[in-house]
Amino acid sequence: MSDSNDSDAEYTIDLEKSSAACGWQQLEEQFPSAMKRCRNFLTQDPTNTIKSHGKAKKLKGKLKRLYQYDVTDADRVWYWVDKESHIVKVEYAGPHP
Amino acid sequence: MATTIFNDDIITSTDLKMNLKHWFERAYISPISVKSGAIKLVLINREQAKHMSLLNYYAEMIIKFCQELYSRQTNKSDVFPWVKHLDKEEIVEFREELFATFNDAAHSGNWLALEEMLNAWIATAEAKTNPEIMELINPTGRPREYVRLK
Repeated sequence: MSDSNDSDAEYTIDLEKSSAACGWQQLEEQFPSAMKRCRNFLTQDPTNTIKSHGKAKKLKGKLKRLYQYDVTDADRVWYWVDKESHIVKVEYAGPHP
Repeated sequence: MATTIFNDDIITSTDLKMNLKHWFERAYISPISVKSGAIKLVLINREQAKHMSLLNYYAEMIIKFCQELYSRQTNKSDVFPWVKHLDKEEIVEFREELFATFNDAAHSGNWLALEEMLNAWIATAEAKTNPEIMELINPTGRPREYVRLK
């Protein structure tokens, strides 16, 4: 399900220093094509889960503010979206523990 | 109690052979039973058969989950083993959303919505096993600093 209403918006990506920055770089080295798709999705329409073809999911319960993007079967990017300032805050990037 | 599932026409295999196009067109709209001796078959619209099959599949799953909830009174489930990562409030929220989405799908045929809902809860349970993500809901005091991706 999508809650997007700003499909033309462009977003900036911020990576959390200790839990996302290093992992993001490693994922880009290991899976360049998958990470290019991930980056495009996050910068273009990060809340439109339908557009992601099952890769992105809006989480539930106490994590309902967060989204999960499946880079591979075992690698994840978890993020939330500041719609006012058009920033995607990536809280974790790397293997699913 | 519903003892029959079809309010259907019953024809013989000879009837079918004699007027194949007519019965196929009828079967597209509502099921047609075909009798040949002791053998009884049904011609049914594929989408309708798919809907009935999914309705049965998810209904069985939900009944088993309800049995687990009422008999065990814990967060352990064989049907949805990942619920062990959810807290009590989240399990209640999941259960209510499951029932509501199942009910909607049973009427609308939108089973994709139920699948998406389950996938979102599975992802949530998975995220809750990650200490970095758990720190967001149970902060340890570590300041969160961000660097901009170029």
